Amino acid sequence: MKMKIMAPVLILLGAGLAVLALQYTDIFNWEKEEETLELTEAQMGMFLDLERKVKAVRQSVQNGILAQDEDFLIQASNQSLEVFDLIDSLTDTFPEAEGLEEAYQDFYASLVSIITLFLENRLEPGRARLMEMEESHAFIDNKLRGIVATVTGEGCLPCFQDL
Amino acid sequence: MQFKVMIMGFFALGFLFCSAAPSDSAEQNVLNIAGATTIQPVLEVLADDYQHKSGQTVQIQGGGSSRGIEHVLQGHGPLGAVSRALTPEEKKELEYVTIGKDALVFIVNKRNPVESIDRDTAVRLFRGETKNWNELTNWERSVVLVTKEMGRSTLDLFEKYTGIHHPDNPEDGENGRVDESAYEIASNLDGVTLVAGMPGGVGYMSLGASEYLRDKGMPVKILELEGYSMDRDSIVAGDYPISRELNLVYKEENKDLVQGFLDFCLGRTGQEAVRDLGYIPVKEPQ
Repeated sequence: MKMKIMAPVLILLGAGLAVLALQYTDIFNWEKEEETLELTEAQMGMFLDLERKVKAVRQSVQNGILAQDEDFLIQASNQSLEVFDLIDSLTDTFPEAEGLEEAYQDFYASLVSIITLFLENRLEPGRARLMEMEESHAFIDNKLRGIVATVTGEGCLPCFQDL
Repeated sequence: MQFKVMIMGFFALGFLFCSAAPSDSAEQNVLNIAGATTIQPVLEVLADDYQHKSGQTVQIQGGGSSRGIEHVLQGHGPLGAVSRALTPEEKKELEYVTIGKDALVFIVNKRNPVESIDRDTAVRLFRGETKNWNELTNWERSVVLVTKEMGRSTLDLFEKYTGIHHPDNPEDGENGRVDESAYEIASNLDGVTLVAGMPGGVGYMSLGASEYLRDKGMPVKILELEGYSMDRDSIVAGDYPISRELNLVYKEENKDLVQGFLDFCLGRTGQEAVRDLGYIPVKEPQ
């Protein structure tokens, strides 16, 4: 008799505990998901910022050549230092970004070497070097996309390791 | 077939004559100068003023001091810019006028805590033995070398001072060769821009160009060399370890053609331009 009276109480208690546990788990999961999403956005922001700054460096050097104004080259140098800062932060977070500094360094050196070609009126090699820069820039962009793909797990094409 | 070859031969000869010996009237109206990019900014500043004053068009190209010598010797133009002292052999063939003085300086990125350098440190750096700045300071950053291409007098001065030669120099340096990892640049402008944009960068450049760009905001630092900071007095006195002449060279037969421009460079406007671009005038502008 006692058992019969106690049974619904126990069932209700069990159900209540289960609902609470479920809710607690849901809240916990939701919070965790939110945290991961925020972190990913911050990381993505860094990648996008890097891509934007690399473009800005290139634009400043090109403006310096076209306008024959060293102020643009000073701007490019300062932007380039910001690129290095971003690469440092990314490398701290993602081991996949290890080769990025060297790739950017090569890109920046090639970009800057174009200045003299135009300065000395060596226009043909200057134009050829500009074409090479398109490829070099695309290489960095691909590398960045590769790292993002590896980090986010959204496929791996082109995979960072293959670049 | 023979006819075709003859026609092509005539064209080739015509081209050679046209390029080697421009007409007198063209020569009188155009003053074609090529050579050291160190001197190029000074000449560019002066070209417009001189053109306005004399009616003679001044065309300027860089290419380095070696090109400046070849330019005149091979008859491509009457004036060459050479940013070093002439060799005894060159002095036999060419006349020259020194319009200013310059020095070679070692530069690093502004973020680098290093303040001075000496010959041994420069040798270890440019041979690639010192890989990280933490071997010289407490700053953790890979060393990135920036060197000059062949044919540049800045490279000649560097080779003479350090005893390290460019990888393509036919002769071995007494202290070996510049490390293969070094980025190679041509002019001072791209050299300074490169070091300024890479935190670990180190290079050797013209004092005038480095100081001018640094003062405009380029993030570079000029290092003391063997205890000498870059004051003009030590260069004028010849105490600074690596200084050089800024010369304009010509053939005696072209003296009349170039004399006006040479006088202009040595006059008040010319010497002011030399000073304003960070070099040391040979005559103090009044």
